Amino acid sequence: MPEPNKPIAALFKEIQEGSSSAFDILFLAYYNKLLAFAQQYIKQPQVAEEITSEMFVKIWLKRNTLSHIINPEVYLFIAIKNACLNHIRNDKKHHQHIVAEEETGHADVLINDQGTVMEGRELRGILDQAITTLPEQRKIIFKLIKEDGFKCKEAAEILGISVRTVESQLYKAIKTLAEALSGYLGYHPQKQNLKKKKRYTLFIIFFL
Amino acid sequence: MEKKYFLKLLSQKLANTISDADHEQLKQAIEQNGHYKQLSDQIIQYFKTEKKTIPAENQLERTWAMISKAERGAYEYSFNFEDRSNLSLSYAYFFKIASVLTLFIVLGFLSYYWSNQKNGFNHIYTTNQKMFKVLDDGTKIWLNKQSSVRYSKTFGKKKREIFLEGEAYFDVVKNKAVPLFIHVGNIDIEVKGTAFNVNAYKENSSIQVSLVRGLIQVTDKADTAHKILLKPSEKLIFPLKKTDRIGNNDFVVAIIGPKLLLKETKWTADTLLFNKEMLKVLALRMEKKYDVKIEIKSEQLKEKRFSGTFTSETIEQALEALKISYPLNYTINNRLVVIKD
Repeated sequence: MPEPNKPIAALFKEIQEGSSSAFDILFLAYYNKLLAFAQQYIKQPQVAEEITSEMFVKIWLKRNTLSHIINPEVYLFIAIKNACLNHIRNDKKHHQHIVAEEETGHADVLINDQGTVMEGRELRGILDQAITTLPEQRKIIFKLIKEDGFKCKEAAEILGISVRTVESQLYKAIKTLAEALSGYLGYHPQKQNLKKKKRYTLFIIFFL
Repeated sequence: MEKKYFLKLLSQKLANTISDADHEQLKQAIEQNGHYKQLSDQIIQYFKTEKKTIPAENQLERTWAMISKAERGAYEYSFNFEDRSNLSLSYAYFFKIASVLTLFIVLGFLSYYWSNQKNGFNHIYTTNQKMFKVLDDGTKIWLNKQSSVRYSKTFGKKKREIFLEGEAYFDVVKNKAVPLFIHVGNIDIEVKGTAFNVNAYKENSSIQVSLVRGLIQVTDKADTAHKILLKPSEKLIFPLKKTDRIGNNDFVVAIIGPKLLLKETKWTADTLLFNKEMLKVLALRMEKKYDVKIEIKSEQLKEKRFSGTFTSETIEQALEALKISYPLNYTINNRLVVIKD
């Protein structure tokens, strides 16, 4: 990820002192990430953009209160999440549920290629595709850790859930990736069945 | 190392929460297993890839414009960044809950009324041939000769209930929200996603339930507190006649070995009866019967429907029979069968 040259805590301090260039650095480092995060809750791109921009407006206008914030990065994500959830709650018609799904241009790759050497980009497509099939919350957790480099503890704090839940959701996401890969790398599903059978036989012997 | 455990360690490694000892264990597992190595290499590499994004310079300009507007007091905020989730326990919430409850009560009455109407059921029965049926929820039923199942036309939506007479093998699709009940003779079986055989021919003196995998709970209809949890490779024998029972504890559980278990369910595999079944579904069942892997190279063929019975036929004879009813080509190479146009 494009780390700002200065740690975010230092940026917050400079912004508090009124440095507009520190604000610019913070904005360029985090805008896209926060926008992507907002888009996971709000499916209308315009609304997600407005939420993200408005949050930065607030950061600047309330800059003299920034000093209470312990973990600025987590704070930014929580603010976005709150705004998104409040917006969904207020928007009684729930328009955002009808808006088109994410692009799924990789589905045919799964079927077509057999035995050909795949390219890294293609494989990434397979994995990206697998990620889009995850349940919303799991997808959000996965992206917080992969794209935004958060630790499980921070992701848990952002989403207001337990660290355990984050860990188990991440595990399930990795499992989905492994399944998608197994299918693609020509790992024979029958072998897997055989393995299952073996395990099962063992289980019975254990019972006897 | 079990795959599940391997993936657990891998996810810990990716989240940077793995302990040194576990990391060492993970490394070893990767060295020993080529498939694990492939998986971990690809997933770790995937984790390192970054989404390329265009620097949001336009947005920055726009935001500064918004800021200057706000400083003049001319900007209207449209979002709230505070956590308001606790405030929503208001009247609106109360009414929502109340209306949902009312809805449930009404639905309860209606479904009770509907389930009492006999014509709301699908009835399937066999005479001298076995039958295979996939229900709407994906649950598979192999029905033995002289048996019948009855289930509601709304099966799978609100509840899953099957009434059985005779013998059947069930492979039940897991659905925590809608448990499946099988009513047979004087017992009820609650199923949580599993495969098992029920033998309840009226001529028998007992009902026999053999569990292949999963978990089921069996309840005595006469006394609902009287129940038992059955584990894989266990077989429950429940006498039909009261006089055959020994005191209160009349659930007899036998542990059966894998060979015996296979014998119990063998009847499902030896006859393959299909009625207007798509080739892709039929192929799955043929894979089971003949212990082969079948690949269908034509999308069109996959959807083609066939009817017939295979009992003592060899795989060649079976494929030849399919070929007669519809022009297709096949090759058999060891245990791999390829079917194409």
